[in-house]
Amino acid sequence: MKQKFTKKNKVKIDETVLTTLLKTFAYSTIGITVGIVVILFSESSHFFAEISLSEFLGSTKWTPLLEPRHFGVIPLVYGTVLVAGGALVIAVPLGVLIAVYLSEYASVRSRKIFKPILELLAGIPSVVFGFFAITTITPILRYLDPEIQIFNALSAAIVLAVMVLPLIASISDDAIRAVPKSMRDSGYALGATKSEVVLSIVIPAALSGIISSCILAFSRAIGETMAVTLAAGATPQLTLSMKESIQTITAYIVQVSMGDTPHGTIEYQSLFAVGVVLFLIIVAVNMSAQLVVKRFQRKYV
Amino acid sequence: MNTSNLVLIRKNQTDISDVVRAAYDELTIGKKNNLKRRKLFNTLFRCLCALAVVLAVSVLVVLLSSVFIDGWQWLDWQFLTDFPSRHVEKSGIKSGIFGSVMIIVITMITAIPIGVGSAIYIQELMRESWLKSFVKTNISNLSGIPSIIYGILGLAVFVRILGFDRSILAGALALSLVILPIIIIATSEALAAIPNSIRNAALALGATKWQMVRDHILPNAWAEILTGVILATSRAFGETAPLLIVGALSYAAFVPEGIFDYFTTLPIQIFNWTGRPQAEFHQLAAAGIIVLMAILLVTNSLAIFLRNQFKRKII
Amino acid sequence: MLISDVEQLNEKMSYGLTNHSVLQADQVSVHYGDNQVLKDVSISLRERSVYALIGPSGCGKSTLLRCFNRMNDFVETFRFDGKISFFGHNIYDPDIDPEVIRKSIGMVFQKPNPFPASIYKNIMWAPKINGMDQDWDELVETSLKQVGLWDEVSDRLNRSGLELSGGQQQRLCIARTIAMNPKVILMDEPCASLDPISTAKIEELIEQLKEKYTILIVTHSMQQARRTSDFSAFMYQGEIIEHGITKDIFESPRERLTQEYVNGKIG
Repeated sequence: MKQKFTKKNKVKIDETVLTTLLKTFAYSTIGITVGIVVILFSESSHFFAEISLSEFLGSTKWTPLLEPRHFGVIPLVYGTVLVAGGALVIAVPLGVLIAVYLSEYASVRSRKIFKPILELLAGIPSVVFGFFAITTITPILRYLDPEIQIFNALSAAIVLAVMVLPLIASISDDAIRAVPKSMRDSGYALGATKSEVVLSIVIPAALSGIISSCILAFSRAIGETMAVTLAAGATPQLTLSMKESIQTITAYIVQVSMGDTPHGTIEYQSLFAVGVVLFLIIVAVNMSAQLVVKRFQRKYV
Repeated sequence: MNTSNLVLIRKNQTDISDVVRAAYDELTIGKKNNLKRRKLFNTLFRCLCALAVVLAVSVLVVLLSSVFIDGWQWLDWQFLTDFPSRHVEKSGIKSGIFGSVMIIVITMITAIPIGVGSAIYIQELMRESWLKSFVKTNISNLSGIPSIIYGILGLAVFVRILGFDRSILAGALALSLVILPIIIIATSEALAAIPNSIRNAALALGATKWQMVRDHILPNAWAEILTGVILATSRAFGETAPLLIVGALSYAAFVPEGIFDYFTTLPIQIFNWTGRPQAEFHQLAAAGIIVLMAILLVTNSLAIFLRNQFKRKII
Repeated sequence: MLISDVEQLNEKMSYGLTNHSVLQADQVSVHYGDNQVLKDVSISLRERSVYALIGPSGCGKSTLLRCFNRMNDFVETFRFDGKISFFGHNIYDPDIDPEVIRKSIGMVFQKPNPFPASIYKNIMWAPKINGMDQDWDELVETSLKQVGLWDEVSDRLNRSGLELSGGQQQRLCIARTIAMNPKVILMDEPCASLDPISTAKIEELIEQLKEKYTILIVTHSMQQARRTSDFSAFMYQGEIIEHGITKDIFESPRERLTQEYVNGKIG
């Protein structure tokens, strides 16, 4: 009997060591979040020691690498939102239509073909999409309208739309398929056509999922780096025309990193300052997605 | 029931013949309602949906074929075994491939144990509490943060504070931050798919939580965990932004010899070539993309194969 | 049963025999893939009566019910042979749109399935898409009054239909169906997911509705069939074994199988 107890104790000790290790791993994920916040804010504090917050948020010029220097973040934010918003304008209708096709119209067999194609599209690295924008989309756009510059916001928006399309389509597809069959039946039993059932019953019932897929796609588009850096160029400006080059926050970060800027310079520090802005935008957008899910779920269930 | 009710029924009968006629009319002539227009709309809507799918598929086809047409002529042994060069015809991706492989190996060594271990702890060992839901929420938030932010974090922490400089180690650690949330989420889902009945059975036989995990949960979940890990790794393989921020070289004509060496990777070489104005370099980029996509295709097919092979044998 | 009730039934029967049936199935066979679910089923429904389909689960009751408004069309492997006439017109005729059929032959489902929208929209949506032009407020009010729901919900017509209780939801679904002014209402075990009090209310409602509509109800409960229906059909393994006046089916069945079923020996 005593022997058994000791054996059990040994198991217990081994287990305690292991559990402690796993526990450390699990809690280290909180450390990452803390690390991001601490690093971004402490490093950018050096930046804000030299550049006033009012200049940063108020000025409409961003020329950190050229004299006279200006550090107004608005053009970068504007460029970011412009291409991400443009991408949504293209991708949301397409993505929802694809989701409707996959969940409502496609046969089991064609679903088996199209779903992996979407997954394939989602698995292509961002730098490949950048290549696609430069070598295919931009030439086509310039053929259609010669006024379009080599680097332009439109090409970036289109390629971003292609990139977030699988995300919107697959989350919306899940949301649509989660609508119970009984709800569709009730529509058909009242003599509605398929399109009427889809548009006035299924899509409203799946709306929380569809909207949150769009918000997540927006967040993904804002944080996307390589494709927009290649396609949209590096001209931070407030322009309404998508034919011209702009610069996004992410593209600026890449530009500074590639320029081999020495530690301690204002350019190096500006990287963290715009990083804070990007981080705050992303957090705000992601939180709004969660809010939408919560609010709509309460309404429908 | 009295006679007046019977009279009422008789009276109703005369109405019925009108009803019969009206219903019959509606079925036969009955296009007086708007059905024709609605049917047309129905058909158009269906076509619209199909059109969207066709558009998405054709974009993919155009993308793949343009890459292939541009790149296949450069794809030979010499392309794989040469260093990059100013001269297009002498350029290759040797340094990129070595850099990518070394980065990925270190990324896997760090991210997989921490990721899988965290998921096991959170999903199986942790008691339900506000802390657990906080940790879970935190991880799902981390997965929504763009990779470039992890690049910035890596630049500050690994390159400057820990003094790893712009090395393979710094790049790999930044990359493991990117895929850590992905691995944790995939592993958690694999674990959550194991039915509770198995847990109850093991615990009721006197097993400790860890014995339950080791002997019953992991043997049933490993294939799905592995699938998630492979998909995360291939995501890391194509990742470019965080490595650029951490300071990967866009031009490197050497093979890194240790984890503290400077490095470049295949996606960064592709980025560099794509960014140049000359068409020949675009073709080199396309050839690099073919290699990159071939590697990703192999790893992803492996993941899909595993998923199908071992899919839910127990449930 | 009172003598006058019998008289009333006789009236109805004679009416049915001398006029068109509302709905009539002729030699209906249904396959799902290679699996035959209905074998040469024939049944005729007369105006303003309640018909019950009874039988053990899997006997094809629901399939037959769904054949009457072509809800089976959505099953990919569904194959239909035979003929179903609605006022003498074949509803499986290629010229006929299923939407028109479903408009005239309404359906109530096993689980209450209101749309995730307001009570008001639940009722006026279908008439609206069908291009009916009328006073929606009035339509909503009369429909809800017919199912006895008006007093319970008149102050919250803009609240979601999903906020109602199960029994109220089911009555809302019935109100939604009669707002289309159908000729026939098909009910697929409408009380299966309801508590006894709600069930009693629905049964009461069926009693009232047959003044205006023909009702075909699939039910699992023999008591319910006895309480609510004028005529019953007993189905077993895809065939109608026996049909007739409900009282006869339950008290003096001709077939041995029916007898065993109503006495609880099979099913």
